[in-house]
Amino acid sequence: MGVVLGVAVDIGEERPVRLTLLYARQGQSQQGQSKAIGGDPIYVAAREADNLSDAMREIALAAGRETSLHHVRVVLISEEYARTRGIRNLLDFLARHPQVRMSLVPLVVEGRAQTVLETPPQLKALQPQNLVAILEEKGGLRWRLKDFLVARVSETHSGWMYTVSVIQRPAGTPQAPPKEVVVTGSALFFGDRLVRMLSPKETEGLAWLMSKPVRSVITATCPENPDASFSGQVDQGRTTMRPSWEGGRLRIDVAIQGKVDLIRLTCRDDLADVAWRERLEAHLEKDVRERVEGVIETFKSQRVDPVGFGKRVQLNDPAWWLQNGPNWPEIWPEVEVTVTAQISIMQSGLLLKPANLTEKELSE
Amino acid sequence: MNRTLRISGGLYACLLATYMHAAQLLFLPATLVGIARQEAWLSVLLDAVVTTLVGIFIGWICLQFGRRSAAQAARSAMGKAVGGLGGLIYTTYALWVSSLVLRDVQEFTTIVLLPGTPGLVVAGAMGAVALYAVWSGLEPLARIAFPTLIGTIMTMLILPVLLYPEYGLLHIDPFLSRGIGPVLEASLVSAPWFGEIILVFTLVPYLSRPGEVYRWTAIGTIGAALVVTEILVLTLLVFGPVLPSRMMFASYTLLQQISLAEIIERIELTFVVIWLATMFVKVGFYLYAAAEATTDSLGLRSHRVPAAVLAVMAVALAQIWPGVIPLVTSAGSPIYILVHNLWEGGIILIFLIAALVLRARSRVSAHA
Repeated sequence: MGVVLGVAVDIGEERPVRLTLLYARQGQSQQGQSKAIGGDPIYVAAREADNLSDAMREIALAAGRETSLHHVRVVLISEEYARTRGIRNLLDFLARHPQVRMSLVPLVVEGRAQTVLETPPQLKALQPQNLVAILEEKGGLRWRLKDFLVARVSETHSGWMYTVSVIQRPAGTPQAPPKEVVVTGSALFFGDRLVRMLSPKETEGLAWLMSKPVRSVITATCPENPDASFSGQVDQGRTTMRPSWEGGRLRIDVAIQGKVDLIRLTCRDDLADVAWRERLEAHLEKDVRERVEGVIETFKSQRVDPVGFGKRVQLNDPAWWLQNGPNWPEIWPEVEVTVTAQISIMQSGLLLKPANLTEKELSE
Repeated sequence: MNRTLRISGGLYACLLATYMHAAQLLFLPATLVGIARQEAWLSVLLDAVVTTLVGIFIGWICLQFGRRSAAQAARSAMGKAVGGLGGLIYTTYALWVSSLVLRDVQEFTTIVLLPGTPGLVVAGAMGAVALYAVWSGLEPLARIAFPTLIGTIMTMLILPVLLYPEYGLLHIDPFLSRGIGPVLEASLVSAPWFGEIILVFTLVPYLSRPGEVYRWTAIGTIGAALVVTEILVLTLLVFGPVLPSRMMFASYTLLQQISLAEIIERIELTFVVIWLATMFVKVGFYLYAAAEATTDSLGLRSHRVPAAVLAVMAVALAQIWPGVIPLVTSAGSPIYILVHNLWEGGIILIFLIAALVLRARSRVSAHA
């Protein structure tokens, strides 16, 4: 039996769909990292066909063994495929297949999806495991096939996915693979079509709105010196959204609360000084507020609602939603959204003061 | 057929709760969510209240029979022909439901667990094992029901914790946003499942203390309803109020979501084994009920041969469905619901008449 760990979907060159499967060579996938670099623990097969099931069948016939999708961890969809074809068929294929688990991670690939499966990872034996590990490391926002399907059939939510890309490896030993896969941001969907790619900064705004910003890093300029900056890693984050109607006009107040650990500080400030600390926090709040406001404007411009503003409105006033809910994509861009942020610095590593002299010390 | 072995109230409630909830977990959640969406769990609780009252009423009927089975009582009250026919109607019901349960197991196993395995082999294997249990009598079946129900209870306790990371509270709709109508409609669709309470006609004569029948019937029925309700609530919390209605086996897909730190996952088979054990108990009990009613209706001495014939018939009947889609969709059709409810209501009526006749006779003889 051919155990598939990763699936990639592209637009074919000669046929409508190009499907690529990454098989684990049985007996080798558990043999450790050395196999990933020197040996070849995987087998990648691709076929073009009129549809996904035909392509799957052709690959199975070529491999001469039954294809098992029980262990698929990632499904990679090329940006072009998601934009032009939409993922309706792919979602149905995955959700219907008895072997596919809804815990797999769907990802949009900038460029050709197949190349991600062909790129060997360095610290993991297999690319699908590597991708899952990268996303785990990235932070608390998990987004899997189940979540996308729930959003897809929801009246109030739209879907999104993380995006990845293959880049030239900036550093490495002579034996290291020349390329690597990185997470580049996320992609917004309207219905089953990709409509907009989000930058890493916008994706962090998305994570804040979903109350899952943990492990993301906020960087802001120092209050007294715009050339210097400081960074905080988010330890906790919570976002509340309160809809209200003013003169028949809907508005939503977004309140963000976060706790960060200071991980870098080039400002010449003294954290023991409450006034200084509050100024640092105000700068972090400004950074968070701006990235959240930015991503909300992007959502509005694309008429998408991946974080559930509409759901809050529905829960707040079911009668209003019953009347206006079907027109939410048209109403949403006109809704006034106000963002406030309150960030607290909770820890600062092993230093209370900067490793360098503070402004105060210098002046003295 | 050893009729002298009695079961305690606890085992009675175990067997009742097991056979009542087992098959409901497979297709019912998707069907109910398709109608009542988020309030599907309410429809189950509504049915549970009505079913408990009906169960208590059946318990009262059974108490009029003494230690006699319902079929024996019907024969005694209405004569060999009419009473026997009444008993055979009960037989056909138990046989029909056991065939449905066998087909449920067959479909689930061949789609999810053992693709490519002939369905007849799966149904035949379960039918054969159930037959062996039936030959041993009701008391061993009740004893098997006990550990399976313990397994189910443990599952129900641990599932909310294991699935906690998957809850999506933001997919919940406002309470009763679509009114009470869909809840009532969904409770009608699940009524045939809850109508299986009539199988306590077989259970009550074995209860060691018949006077406790009301209490243990209520406990068993409410226990079964709570299991189904919890699975529905968890399904809604994890998948929201729309997606489950599109799933073939929503509760199995729910179990597949268990993944703690990417380490504890793929443990759904543990729960599936427990569920298969409950289905085995259910098939065994229904075959027992059918065999006992046949034996008593026809005035036979042994239930072994009727049980074997009925087991073969149940496996054969299970094959009449052309596939899983007609099996699932028919369960929600008005004709299916009407026929089953009439069938179940008719059986209660037949045995009620028998009870009233026997009661009247005993009063007359007492006056005499």
